[in-house]
Amino acid sequence: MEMQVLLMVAVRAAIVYAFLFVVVRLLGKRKLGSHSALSLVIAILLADLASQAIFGTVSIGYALVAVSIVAAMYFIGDFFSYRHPRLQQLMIDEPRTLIRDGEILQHELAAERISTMELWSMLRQHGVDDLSEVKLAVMEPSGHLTVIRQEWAREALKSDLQMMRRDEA
Amino acid sequence: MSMVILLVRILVSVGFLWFIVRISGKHALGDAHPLDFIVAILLANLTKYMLLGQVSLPEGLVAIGLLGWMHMFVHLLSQRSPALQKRFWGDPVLLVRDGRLQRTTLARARITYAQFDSMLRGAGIERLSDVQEMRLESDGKVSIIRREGTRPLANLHLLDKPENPREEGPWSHAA
Repeated sequence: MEMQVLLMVAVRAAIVYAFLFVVVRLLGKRKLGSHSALSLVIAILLADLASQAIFGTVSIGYALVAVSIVAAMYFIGDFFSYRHPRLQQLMIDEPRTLIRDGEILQHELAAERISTMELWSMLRQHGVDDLSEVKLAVMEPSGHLTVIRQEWAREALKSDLQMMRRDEA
Repeated sequence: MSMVILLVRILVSVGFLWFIVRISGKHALGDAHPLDFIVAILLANLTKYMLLGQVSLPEGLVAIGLLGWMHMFVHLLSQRSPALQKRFWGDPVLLVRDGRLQRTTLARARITYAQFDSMLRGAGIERLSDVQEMRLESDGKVSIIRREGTRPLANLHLLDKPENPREEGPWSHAA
């Protein structure tokens, strides 16, 4: 009896894994995960539903139907928001510029509910301790800050050295 | 339970989850701060219970709505007041200053020397003297400001930086 239960768990786990594999593949590359807050929560939700199917706390058919419908809803929302920019604005948060040309845009900061301290903490993680170096800092839908430095603060490239050598010649 | 009821439950619960996530903002849910991540998992978990009919729809809506709203409120408060910001999320901790390891703060942050070395290597730094400031930020990630001479070359066309007053971030209390 005990062995039978363990065997059932193993079988269900294998089925659920195969099913999740197919569903996530169908959703496409990089769709689930930390691309946006919603996709992160949906990914966790799918995992959560799957875990119930594995331990049989709901019937496996029932849980897999639920996984399919949630994934389908996500797919449909994604599909239509890709087609219609208006819908996309409603569905997904747009990136928001927080710093432009070394100047912190305070009202944008307030709109994202990010404090100045948090902003500096994120800037330091990009190795920035001087605001004038920042040309553009954008809060992305994933909740991460991206930083574009001013031309003079960017790393020198091979082409810069080549140009210097040409100037010398 | 029939499939139609399941479909209705999914529509309501996932729709409400989307609404809460959408109004929470990019920064409040995600992998930035451990609490944000945990709340994201918690919201997904509550949605699952509601979706599978293990709790009633009103119960689920109240739980998800309240949790989402509270988390948003905490972020709103900490945005408004630097004091609350520190109280809620903690202060950034200075681990290195001017190339010197701050042993007491390292101990207080419970970071071993092995972990510290791996953080440096992760940033591609071989010598501690290359580091001007290294902080453990309140979101648990490490930030490193290199010493001026060890930073990558700035763009050679425009080596001269325009004359602007330097605007530095707030210092951490820990020294």
